[in-house]
Amino acid sequence: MNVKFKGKTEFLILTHNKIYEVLSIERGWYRMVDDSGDDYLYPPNLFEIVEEHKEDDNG
Amino acid sequence: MLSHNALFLYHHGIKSRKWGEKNGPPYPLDKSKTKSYNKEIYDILDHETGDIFHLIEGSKIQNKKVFAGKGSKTPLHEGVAEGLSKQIGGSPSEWKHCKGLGKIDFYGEEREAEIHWFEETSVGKHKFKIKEWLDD
Repeated sequence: MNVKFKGKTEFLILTHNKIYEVLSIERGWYRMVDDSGDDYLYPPNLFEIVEEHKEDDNG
Repeated sequence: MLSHNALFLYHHGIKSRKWGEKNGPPYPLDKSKTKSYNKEIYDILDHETGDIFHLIEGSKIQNKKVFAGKGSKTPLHEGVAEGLSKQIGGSPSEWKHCKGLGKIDFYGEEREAEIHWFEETSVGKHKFKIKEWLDD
């Protein structure tokens, strides 16, 4: 799932309107690689979903 | 906004805040001057709502370790130290990336988490983030 950051750009954290790939969802928070290059947890209310993973078709 | 908890808001130069100086809070950092303030409370800022997630009152970051930058064998990612110095201050060679364990007050729910931040002696701790929940 890809999400777009709605908040204010902050160096080494997140960039406004930038799209990030959600690696996992843990206790409701999104794990993603942020602008520091490392992965961290962020609350979902900071983002809007821009692309959800589609189910793979079998067969 | 949080006058009751003002002593527990340990800001370190968050630019959007109108209190204090650019890179430091107005209240004394010398803990000996605030006898009752023997806690280290750090805030994790929600950039969208402006909410601040505090460590549980009375708790503090445990097991602090430096895992990159000054004091570590691992350098910071390229551009990080220079960017931090430009934005916040301090010397690029003095910045470090730290981690520790803390209990977060998340809208009244207590959550234990591994917390990361950047730190430089002259300007303090900045850019707190949650690496993972520990109480699953």
